[in-house]
Amino acid sequence: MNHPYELLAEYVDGALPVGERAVVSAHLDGCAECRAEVALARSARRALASLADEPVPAGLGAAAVAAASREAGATAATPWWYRGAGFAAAAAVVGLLAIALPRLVSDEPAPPSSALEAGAAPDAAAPGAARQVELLDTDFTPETLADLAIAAGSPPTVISAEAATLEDATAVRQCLLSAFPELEGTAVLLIRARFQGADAYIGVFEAGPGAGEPPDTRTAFAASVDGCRPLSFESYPI
Amino acid sequence: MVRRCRAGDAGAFRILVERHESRVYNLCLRIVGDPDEARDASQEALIACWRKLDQFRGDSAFTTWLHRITVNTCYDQLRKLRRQPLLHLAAEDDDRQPEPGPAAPDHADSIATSFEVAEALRSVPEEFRAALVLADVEDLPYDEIAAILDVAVGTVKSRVHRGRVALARALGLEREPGGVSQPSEEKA
Repeated sequence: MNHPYELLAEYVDGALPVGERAVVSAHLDGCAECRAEVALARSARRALASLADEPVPAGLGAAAVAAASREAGATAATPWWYRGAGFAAAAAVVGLLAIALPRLVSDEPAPPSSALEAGAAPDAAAPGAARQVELLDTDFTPETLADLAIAAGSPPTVISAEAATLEDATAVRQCLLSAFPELEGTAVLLIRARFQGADAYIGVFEAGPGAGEPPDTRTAFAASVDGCRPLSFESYPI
Repeated sequence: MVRRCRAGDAGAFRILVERHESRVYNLCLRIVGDPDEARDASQEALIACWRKLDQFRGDSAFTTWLHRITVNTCYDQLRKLRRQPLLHLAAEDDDRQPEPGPAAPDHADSIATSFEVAEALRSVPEEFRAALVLADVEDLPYDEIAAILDVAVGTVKSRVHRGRVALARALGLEREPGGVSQPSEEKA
């Protein structure tokens, strides 16, 4: 006897057209084996429908994103101003580095703020940690954010500029932490600027593979000033 | 979003991952059967998605494409693990006779816990399992499952039916006392 296996799934689903349903019903009337299978299949279908989604393990997506970021960073190893990008955009980043780099390499500790002394941010007292928030009239994009991650730790090539000390560095860190709970490491640069048109806090953080290990990744995070929502981040291996 | 990812925007990829990681993980969990291995397979699948995004042509839904990558990654993971004995798969048009036996009562949900169902899934032949999970856990239509598995729709229907029967037998439902369902009991 030929058994209509291809039709039995839809028969059990109740999705067979009338004509085919009649064919299967006629077969089942004379085939105890298929009747038994249909009963089993119904039971299995109902059992599977009761399976609920399990929660995603913590950090699952972050590991994939980190791997993607590393690959994206590797492809962007040559900053775009060396790859022939527009002069105006290149000038904006050079200007940014002129502001940021003196603080990154300064031997003189910046005056502590009361918020920092309170130790509200875990990395606030780390050597080289950013203690001020730079105010920049720059609208960042994912590409320039990546360049910031690449270049923020480079040796200074342009030094001399004034930077505005704008806001409490700890509050900016907390906003970034709120947007990116997985964020870790030492903030080497904190900026208030724009990201794709939106008012944004941008933080460049250096982190190692584990506590106490030297940093191996530099990541630029952008979060909205309004509501501290994540906007984007770009990582680059140091 | 996919276009931004294809341009190498890791930030956009992060959002894409947030949207789909639960679906990917749970599909892996049901196919691979072990939470740790499912986690590994999920990460592999998501990274493979990132690497292959430039191959996504948009001639299918993104979710279909992602499901295909995920299922293939699960198969790779299962091959690597060799956790269960290779199961001989009948040809799709094989009309072999199943072992006849008493029919199960149609109340599996009252006699099998989710844990038992998940465990029983592991004993369903791999080739049937993916189709079964996509149909009865993911609730995808047969034509989409055919696109994901790259097989004919008829093959999907056959695999789903065989998978259901295998699962019920793995749950021991065949041995339960009870009457045989009548053909006329089909529910719309």
